[in-house]
Amino acid sequence: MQMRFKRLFLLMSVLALIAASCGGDSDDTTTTAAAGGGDTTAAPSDAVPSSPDDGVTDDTIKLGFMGDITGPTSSTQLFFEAGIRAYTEFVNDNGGVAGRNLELFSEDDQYSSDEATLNYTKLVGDERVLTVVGQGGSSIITNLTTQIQDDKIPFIGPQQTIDAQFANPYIWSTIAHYGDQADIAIEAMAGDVGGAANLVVASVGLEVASGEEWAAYIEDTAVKAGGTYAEHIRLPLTGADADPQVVRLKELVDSEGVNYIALHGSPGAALRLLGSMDKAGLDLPIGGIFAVIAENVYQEGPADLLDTYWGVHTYTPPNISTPGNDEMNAWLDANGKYADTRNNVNFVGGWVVTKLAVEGIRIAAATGTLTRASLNTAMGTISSFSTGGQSPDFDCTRDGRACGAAGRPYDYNGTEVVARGEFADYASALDLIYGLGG
Amino acid sequence: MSGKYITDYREDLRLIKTTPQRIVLVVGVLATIAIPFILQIDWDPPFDYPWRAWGTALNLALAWAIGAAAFNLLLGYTGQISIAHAAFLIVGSMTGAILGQGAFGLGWSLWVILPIAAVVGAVIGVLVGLPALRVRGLYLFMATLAVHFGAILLFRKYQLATTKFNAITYPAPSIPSWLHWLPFINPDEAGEFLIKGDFRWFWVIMPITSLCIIYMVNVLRTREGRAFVAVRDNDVAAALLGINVARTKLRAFAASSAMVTVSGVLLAYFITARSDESWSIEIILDVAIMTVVGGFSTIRGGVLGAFFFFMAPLWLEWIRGWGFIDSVDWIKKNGANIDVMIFGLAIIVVLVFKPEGLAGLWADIKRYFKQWPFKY
Amino acid sequence: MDTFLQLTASGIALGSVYAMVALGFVLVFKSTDVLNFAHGEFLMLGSFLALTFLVEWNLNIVFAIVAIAFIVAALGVALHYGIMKPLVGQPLFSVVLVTIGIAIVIRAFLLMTYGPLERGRILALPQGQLDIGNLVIPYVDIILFLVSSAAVVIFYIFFKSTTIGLQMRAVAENLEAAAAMGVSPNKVFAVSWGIGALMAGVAGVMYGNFTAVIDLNLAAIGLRAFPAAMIGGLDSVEGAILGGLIVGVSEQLAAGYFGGDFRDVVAFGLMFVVLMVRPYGFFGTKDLIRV
Repeated sequence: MQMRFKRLFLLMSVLALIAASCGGDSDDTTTTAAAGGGDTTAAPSDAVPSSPDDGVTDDTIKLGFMGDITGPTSSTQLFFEAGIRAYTEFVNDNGGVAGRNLELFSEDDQYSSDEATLNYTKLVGDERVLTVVGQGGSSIITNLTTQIQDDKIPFIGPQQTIDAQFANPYIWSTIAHYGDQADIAIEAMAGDVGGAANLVVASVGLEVASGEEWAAYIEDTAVKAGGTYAEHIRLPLTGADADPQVVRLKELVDSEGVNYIALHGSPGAALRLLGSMDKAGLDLPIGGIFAVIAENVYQEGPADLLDTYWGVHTYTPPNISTPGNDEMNAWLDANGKYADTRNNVNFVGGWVVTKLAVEGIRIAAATGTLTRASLNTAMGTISSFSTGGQSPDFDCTRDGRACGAAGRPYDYNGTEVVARGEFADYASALDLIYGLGG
Repeated sequence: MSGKYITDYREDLRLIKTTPQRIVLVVGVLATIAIPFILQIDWDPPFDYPWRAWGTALNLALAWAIGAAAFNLLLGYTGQISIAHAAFLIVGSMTGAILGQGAFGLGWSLWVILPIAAVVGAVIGVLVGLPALRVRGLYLFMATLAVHFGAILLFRKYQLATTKFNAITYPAPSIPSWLHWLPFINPDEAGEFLIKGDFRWFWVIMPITSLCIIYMVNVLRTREGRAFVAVRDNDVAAALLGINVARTKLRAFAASSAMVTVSGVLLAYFITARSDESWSIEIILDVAIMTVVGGFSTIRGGVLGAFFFFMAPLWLEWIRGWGFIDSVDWIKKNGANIDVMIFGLAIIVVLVFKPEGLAGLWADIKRYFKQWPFKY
Repeated sequence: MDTFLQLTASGIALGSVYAMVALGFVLVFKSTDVLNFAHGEFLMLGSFLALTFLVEWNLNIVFAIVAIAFIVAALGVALHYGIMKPLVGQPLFSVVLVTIGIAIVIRAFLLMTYGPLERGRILALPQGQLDIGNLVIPYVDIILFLVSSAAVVIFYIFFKSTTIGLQMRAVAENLEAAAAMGVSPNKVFAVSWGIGALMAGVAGVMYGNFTAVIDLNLAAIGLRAFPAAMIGGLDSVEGAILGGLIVGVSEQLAAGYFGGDFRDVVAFGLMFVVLMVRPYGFFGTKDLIRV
């Protein structure tokens, strides 16, 4: 028994040593920085005082990400997180912001609200990040909305735009709301069929509540534009195929003359619908929400249907040359980084929202204080921020802080994704009507 | 060997029998009261050890502990294999929304809703338990799976009928104004005392959890509780002993479902919003992890399991942050997925090597010290 | 009428997959009394391995089926010796929970290995379709139905006319008596796990050629095996086939006529009704205990 205690003691001391040694170096850097840096010596001219409680230490600014990195929706969110991480490294490579380096803290909730609540406390309470960038999960941000107001922490560029975000003065939405996406989609569809009067659209969506939301905006917009809305068809969340849904679509083509599908769903749902349409020989054009533009749909989907398959997005896929994308790709090429994640539109999404956050930090730092409160105020002054074509210019002075209430459709030309026109071409279609759900 | 022997039935009936137990109880209560205050301390522990997050983890674990223990009551003690667990969390969330939501519900206070939810849960629990009278074992397991999918569809239709596409939100409960004279109750400028934040929620969830756990422990000590065990061990023999098997099964369903429903209400209010995306089949797996790792068929096991489920990821993530582990690419890339794998392996390892789980481990440690320095 | 026929045809193809899944599932249950929650994950493993074998390495499909069946079967046998054998005699639900643990591990392993991105259908089988009037039946669906029927026939012969099949039936009938007659229950259990997993592996390859998307949601098909097996009777091989077809057809009909959100509810609701009316399914053994 004594032997056992001895061994245990030995093990404990070894563990303690390891912990001390590995924790040690990070501790060292902070202490030296505190002694040498700070606001006394060699501070850059644009330095603002530190505010450790707001994630601004002497040498770093802490950013947070919370979302689903390894769970059921990770096929989009994983890339978003990578884009955020990449942009923080890009900023650090180029001398940082406000005289400091960015440090990203990522928390994975695997799409669970309970886990997300825990992660929120970790980021906002323990790590004391300045802002949370690119949060993912619409039911999760609804959970957090009161806490965000109480903690007064800016959430910049969540991956979704839901009604609850507009009511919260600390959430800065950067992606088009379903209402905006439906406006743009109907405009593009009307153009394809020669005028809205010829348009007969059916919506197909996942069986979740957001699928119904998409259907409601498509119906509203289509009818207002003078087109016809047929009906909403629901796809189960899991399953082998969409055969029953395609059978119904075929009936609608015969009975109501449906000539367009408005699709809500994930890349998986899109693949299921395309697969079943291919099997049944139904060739209808499809326009969808942002999530349907995914590299794997183009690679894995039936080729003969993809020429009339497109989706509306606020962010520009990485293969399309714009000043912002060129700069990003050049940096990625030069560093050989993010090879598995960079070819995804969500990567650009993460990159762009972090760009916006950094712009906010820059403006806030210029006022002389960099805190959560000053960042939130600074965000409100951004009236036209160009991301170099990686997204429409962000205007955060809009109602509900809908910085990115714009977008355009993206087609697939058989080898790569191409933009259909400019963002400005679709600006007139936006009616900025939200809250159909009440 | 402890020298304490039980000499009469009155003594045997007590929950707390010995002086060491009394001491443990007092220390435990003091520690429980102290913990939230300790977690309030504004400091940064060395090595990036998480601190405030423990408050959230504690509340989540406490709220889930009710459900996990109730699951053990039904499964471990009565032997009724039901996995309609998520269904009753849904019942709780819907009860909370119908009665408590201001915009489309009745706007009642949480304090009124909780006991009502227990009753609602018990009634629906009896309904769900009815198939148990006809089918048993794995067939019952399947029947409750049908209840799970039915409940999800119901919740989705309810959500679409009320808050449409947005998640159902739950207002922060408040202490009624006629209780504001109580110590530590400092109303805000608006004259309200809202339950927000981990510190205040702890004082709501902890007593409710304690009450529910004490209730379950006591139920098991009654005639009904012994009937539960008799039905589990051999229902034919139980029937021969004069136990009404049908009624006993339904009572077990009622008690367990009432508790899960209460936990559903608490969680909905603590998390503040629920939507149709909150209910996945994974919830069943989560409950399985809690009950198995904690210890199958003891109330204590459910509680320990819930704590394990919410605390272990905090530690695991902290460990992953250590310099030399953080530098391993594979670990960094897979992150929380490694936790999931560890949980899965934990289930297997526990059931193969230590079927009594953490609760069994606790009993072993106790026995070790009790018999020290002897081995047996 | 066209709609009905089309939905039924598609339901039969889907039902064939369910039947194959349910068959392996029932086989394991029949001889070892273990309800294998991880059966869907075995199938998913088969589909993902098919991705590697057929899409990445471009191997012959027959070779791939044999190789994958062998790998998954070996895993099944290993699971029996490593995990299930020490658990003999544990309460029913403990064993179910262990299979839940196995399911979680396989899932996490696949996510780590293959990443979260969805993959499209495997195109290793002949593509194209048969047109009968307005009815469209893809070749893949027909092949699926034939493979699944063949599996049933092979099974039937295996059960009725081989020694190990006879031993399996004996163990299922009465473990003690079989053991007393010199049958090694352990060997029989191992073989059952092997064959059950093998069926899942084969079904996984076929399913990879049938489904439009291969991702981690695929394990949900294992859940579908539950109603299929239940409706037929949990310990009946014939029942699994019938149950699979019933579930497949009713799901497609429900999704076609009521909408996609009713699919799960109809499959499990049907199972619920059957359980209430005939608690032991259509072909299951009646337990004589009445309380």
